[in-house]
Amino acid sequence: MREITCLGMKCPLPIIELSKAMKKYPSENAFLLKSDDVATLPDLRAWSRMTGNAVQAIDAESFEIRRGTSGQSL
Amino acid sequence: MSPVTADLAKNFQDLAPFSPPIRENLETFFSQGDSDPRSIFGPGAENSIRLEASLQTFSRVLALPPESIHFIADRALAFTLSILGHAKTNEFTTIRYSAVDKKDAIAAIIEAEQFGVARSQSNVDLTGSIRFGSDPDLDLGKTLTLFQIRNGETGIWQTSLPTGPLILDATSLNPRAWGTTLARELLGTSSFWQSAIFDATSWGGPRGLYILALNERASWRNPLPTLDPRLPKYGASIPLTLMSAVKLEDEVARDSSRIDKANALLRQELRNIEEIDLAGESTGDRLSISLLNVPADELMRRLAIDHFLVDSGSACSASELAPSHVLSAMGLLTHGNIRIRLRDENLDSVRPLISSIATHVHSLRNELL
Repeated sequence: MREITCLGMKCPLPIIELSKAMKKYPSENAFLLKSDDVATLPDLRAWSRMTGNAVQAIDAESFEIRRGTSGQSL
Repeated sequence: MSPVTADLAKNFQDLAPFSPPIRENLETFFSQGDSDPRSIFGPGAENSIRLEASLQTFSRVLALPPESIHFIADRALAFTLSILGHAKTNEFTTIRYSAVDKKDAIAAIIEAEQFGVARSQSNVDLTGSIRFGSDPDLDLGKTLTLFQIRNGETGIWQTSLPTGPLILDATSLNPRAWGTTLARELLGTSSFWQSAIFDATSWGGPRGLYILALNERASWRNPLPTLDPRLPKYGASIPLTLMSAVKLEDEVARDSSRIDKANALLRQELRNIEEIDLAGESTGDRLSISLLNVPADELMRRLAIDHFLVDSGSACSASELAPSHVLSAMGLLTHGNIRIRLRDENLDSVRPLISSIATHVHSLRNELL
C-alpha cells in the first residue's frame, strides 16, 4: 500500500496529492492517505462517490483508498 | 453603460452594487431617512408616511399581517429573538432543525437549552431535501421546527412542509419564485407558523435589514432585557427599510423565466466539465458547483482577471478555516466550490462566464495534476 503523507496540508492539497499519486502509480490498487485537514473527511466521501473508488477511515488522520471498488463509504 | 451597471453585468456574487431602483431613491432616503418618524413636523412626518407605505409593501408581498412585522438590523439577532423568544415560553420541549441551517440559527438553538428545550438535528440528502423524519419519541405538538425553506448557498428549496409548529427561515426567499408559493401558502393560510425571518438581500435589497414576523397567535416572549412589552426596533435603519421596500416592489413585478433559463444553461454546459458536483436540480437565481482537484481561491482569482466575480464556500477561498457545513452535510465536494448568483443585470454574461470557468478549470487541472 502506497502512503501519501499530507499532514499539515490544507484543502484541497490532500485530495490533489491523492489524485496525482493514483495517476502516477496506475498499477497500485491501495493507498494510505494521511491528512489532518478538517475538509479531508467530507471531501473523501464526495471524491469516492464521484470517482467510484472506495475509501475507509483507519483513524481520524488515516484513510485507506482502494481503486475502483465502489460501494464502500466512510 | 454606467460604471455601476458595468459592475453588475459581470458580478455573480451574492452581494452586488445596488440596482437602479435603489440608486434612484438613495439620496432622498439618506437625506431625510434618519429623522424621527414620530415627529409630526418636518421630514419626520414624511418618513412616517413612507414607513407606513413600506409596511404595506412587506405585508402584501410577503403575505404577512402588518402587525406581525418587526425590523431588525442584524440576522443573528433576528434568529436569537425568534428562537429564544419561543423557547422562553416553555411551550416547547424540543427544537428540530437541519444540518444545513444557518450557523446563527444553530447557535441560538444551542442557547435555547438554557430554557430546558432539547434539540434534534435532521439530516439532508444529496439533493438537499431535509429529512425531518418521524422520531416516535418526539411530541410533535410540543416540537418547534426551524424550517429553512430555501438554502442560501445552494438555492435549493423545500417542496413540502414539516408537521407541527414552525419557525420559517425565509432569509433566502425571493418573491419572484423558487419556494415562494409554499411560503405564502404557509404564512397566508396556516396557523402553524410561529415566526418568520426574511433578509432584504434575498430580493436584491441592502444588507442590514431583516424582518422578524411574529404570529399574533404564537407563544413568544422577548428574551432580551426590556421594560417595554412591545418589541423595540433593534437598530433597524429607516433608509435601509425604505430601500428594501422599493426593491421588493421592483422584484415582485419581475419575471423568473429568464433566470431559470440561465440556470438551466449553466447546468447543461457545466456538466460537460469532468468531475463536477452541481448542487440540486433547479435552483433559481443561485447555483453552487464544486470542481474536483481545483483550488477555489485560484479559480476565483483567474475568473476575476476576466472581470467575473463569484463567491465560494471552500475553506481555502476566504476567511473561513472550515469548509461549508452545507456542502459537507449534503455530501457534496467542499473544495473547488464557487457560487453563482443570477440577476437580470448579469444574464447576458452567462455564456462568457461558462467559457471562462471551463478554460480555467482545464488549465488549473493541467498545472496541478
